Amino acid sequence: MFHLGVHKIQGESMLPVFKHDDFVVSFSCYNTHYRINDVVIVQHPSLGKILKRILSIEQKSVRLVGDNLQQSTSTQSLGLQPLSHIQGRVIWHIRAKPSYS
Amino acid sequence: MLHTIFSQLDSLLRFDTTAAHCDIPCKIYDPSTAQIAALSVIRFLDLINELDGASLSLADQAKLSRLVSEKETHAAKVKDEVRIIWGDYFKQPQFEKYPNTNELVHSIMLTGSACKTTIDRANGEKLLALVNEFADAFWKTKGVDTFTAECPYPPSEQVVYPKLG
Repeated sequence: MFHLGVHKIQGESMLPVFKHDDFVVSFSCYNTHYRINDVVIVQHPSLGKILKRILSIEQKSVRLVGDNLQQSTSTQSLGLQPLSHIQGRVIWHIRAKPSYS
Repeated sequence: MLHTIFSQLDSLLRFDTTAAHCDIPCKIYDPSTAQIAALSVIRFLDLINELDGASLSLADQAKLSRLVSEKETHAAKVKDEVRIIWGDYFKQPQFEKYPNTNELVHSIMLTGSACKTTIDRANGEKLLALVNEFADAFWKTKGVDTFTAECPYPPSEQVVYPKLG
């Protein structure tokens, strides 16, 4: 009926908002309606579980994009992903402590 | 505070990790890997076809099995390497310069699959020709001229090389 998940972020393709070692909580239920700009957890067929932002919605599929374009796989490489691959929308973001050096 | 709690929970429960990275933007792209893999496919096809008609010993059968496996691995490698360059390097300016790139890459995918499923040398030759065409376009997008020469090792096929230096 619904899915609640906690995920630890690895990587920097979603900078500046989502940083390496941050945690996110995702949620989905049977009637979740995703919107453009939602940050979602997607089970990608070749890249595994990824955190991306919805760039566009085309019928029952989405195009994804990383916030940090310089360090994210391109939208074209990510491909059109069916809505069924989305595991949930990020509803809570727990930031890692800033590191001062 | 919250992050500390989640970190402690993570050490106990091992939350899933989600990748907010995929490719390091190293900008190192080179079609030579795909070209060498395509040459390997032709070489494996030749070696497979050399065994045709002979009564195969157990050792020959083991060799045939390895050759077929390697042929398919290298055909898949061609597809992987080309797909990465097409997906990550080619962007609007490159597509504008070479508008038939998508069709070319699609042909490479189809021919790569044909090389996996058959032992027809013509498929291997076609795959190399297409990858050479792709390599030529790739180097031209970087303003690097190319030349064609016979590779100095079996299967002695024509390969597109960049003119560097």
